[in-house]
Amino acid sequence: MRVRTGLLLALLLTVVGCSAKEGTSKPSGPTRSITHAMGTTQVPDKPQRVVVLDTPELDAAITLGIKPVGTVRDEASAGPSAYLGAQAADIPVVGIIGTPNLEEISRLKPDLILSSKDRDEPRYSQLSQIAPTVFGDAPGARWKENFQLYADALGKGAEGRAAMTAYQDRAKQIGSQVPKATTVSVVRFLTDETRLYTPRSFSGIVLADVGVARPEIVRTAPDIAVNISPEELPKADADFVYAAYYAPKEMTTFPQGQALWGQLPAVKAGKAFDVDDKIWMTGIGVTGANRVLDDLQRTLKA
Amino acid sequence: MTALAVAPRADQLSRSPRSTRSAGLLLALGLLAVLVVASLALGARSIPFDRSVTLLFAGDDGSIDGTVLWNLRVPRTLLGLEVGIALALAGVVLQSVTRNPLADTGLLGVNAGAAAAVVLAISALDYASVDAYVWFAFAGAAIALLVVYGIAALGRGGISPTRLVLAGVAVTAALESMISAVSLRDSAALEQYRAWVVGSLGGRDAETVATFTPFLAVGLLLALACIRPLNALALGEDLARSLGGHVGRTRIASAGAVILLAGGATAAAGPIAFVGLLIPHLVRAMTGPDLRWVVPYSMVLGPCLLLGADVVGRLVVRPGELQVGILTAVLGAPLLIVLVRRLRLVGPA
Repeated sequence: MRVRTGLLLALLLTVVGCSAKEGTSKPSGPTRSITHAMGTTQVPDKPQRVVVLDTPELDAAITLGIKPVGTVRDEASAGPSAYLGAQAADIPVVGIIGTPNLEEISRLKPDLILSSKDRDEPRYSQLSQIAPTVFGDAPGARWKENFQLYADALGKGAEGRAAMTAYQDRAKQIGSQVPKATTVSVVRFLTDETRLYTPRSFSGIVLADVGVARPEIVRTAPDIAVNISPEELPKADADFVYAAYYAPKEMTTFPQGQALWGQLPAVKAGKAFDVDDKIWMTGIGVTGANRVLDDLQRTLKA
Repeated sequence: MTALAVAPRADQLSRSPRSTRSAGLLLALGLLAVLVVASLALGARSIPFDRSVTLLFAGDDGSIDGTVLWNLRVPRTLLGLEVGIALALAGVVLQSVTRNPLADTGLLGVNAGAAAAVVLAISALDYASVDAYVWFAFAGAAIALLVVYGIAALGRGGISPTRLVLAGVAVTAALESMISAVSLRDSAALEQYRAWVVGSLGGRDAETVATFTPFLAVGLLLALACIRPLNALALGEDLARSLGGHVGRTRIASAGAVILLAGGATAAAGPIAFVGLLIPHLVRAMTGPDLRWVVPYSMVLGPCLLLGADVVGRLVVRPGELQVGILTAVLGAPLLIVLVRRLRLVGPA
């Protein structure tokens, strides 16, 4: 008998709990409507408490002078990307990219949540119950569209466009340092893979804005990167080679190809440079892109 | 159980004539030679065959082809030979000493022990290099096997094949939950662990290969010394004793051989499934259960499976690669299924 009462009580509580959370949360003040990867959402005119659930959203917010109240980290690091500086360093972390802690997010009482379909699609309705939620799509390949979307959602559409234009002008100016036919390749050493990044990736789009050529193997590849065997490392050769490491160098596939790496003409000529994985690979946004340009400005010299 | 029993019976000991088995061994050696050549000549980078041959005999000429051959393909081919021999032999010894056809290095906690040690090393030492944690893998494998033997030896009755396997299952389960606990708390460790746990012949330099050669060599000698006593043990403990064998000593020597062989192989290449399980079954189906034939056949067919899987892995997803640990399972599982079906058909009534 007691067991049955307990069960009934539990059931009742569950029902009450559900109905309390039913439906999507509505902002109280004036709103704007934003159309995004998951539909159309009413967001507050001037969001004050923003939670961002991936690096491109964090970059967009910081670039536009809005400090989020919550963010996520990637599996290999303790906090937000260092390249975003002090502004991002002390933002509370609410989980790992792709597995945010919904309870902690709701405790922050956000009035806007930014993420992407690729990271959090299964959680879209739950996130929407916490706060108006806007999703981008294809973080690397469509980073410019996403950046503008996040800028619009943050109520900083004009500032977003200005930042993008300034970046693009700077990219063009850096490109004028080198001949058009200069080839640039981007290689990333992960723990069990070696990848060459294509023009469809974030770094590839930045390099296209600069206006340099890319090596044969990545030019026609359909995805953002091509996986190669260490034996194929010579295909990474170009006039300039930029290498990023997902983990400390000796833990990646780099040692496997080290002997070959030393034989690349670009390496011998001192035209190969180690770059920050957190910028070139995951620094997706205008601030990240400008940091890529910093590296290029410093190194891309005939 | 009898249908799958590994124990040889007198009438089986000479199932096929000696000449047939010798010819078969020569054939297997031929296959191994072909696979060694393939492992040196084939890969993601296309090097013309005659150029490979020239480079092999003339030495590294400092060209990119030379670096690929001498820095990547030669070490991984040698490692494939060593690990293939070690795993197959460890499987043979384990299945014989436990008189259990299911016994392989995974069952007695060797893989789990190595994996647990690697996870702890990565987590506690904050990214050691691959070369540093091979030693942890080796120690972990050895400790796990010793613990399994220790647990099995406790209590009345001493070590029996059943107790050994049960102890192995229990220790493996405990170690695996520990691996999950550590790797879920420390996601960076998980990332490194994932790369190691697949099992690969690539990415190990000639030095790593050389480091483990002495261990594998001693393990090999120990295993060879166990052939005769293990053959006697297969007839049953009492009979083995009456034939003048020391059952306890045989078990200890076998355990030593397995620790050195499986521990060394797992440390050098990561856990590679199926070789230790499949090869002894495959070989017994061809030669019968006499270890004097099973051992040499296994020592040839083990590296055949490993090198074959590795070469296939280099060719199927060009310009990338698939790790050998994935392919031994993919290629090995269907073979084992065929064998299981056949065994049921020919199994003694």
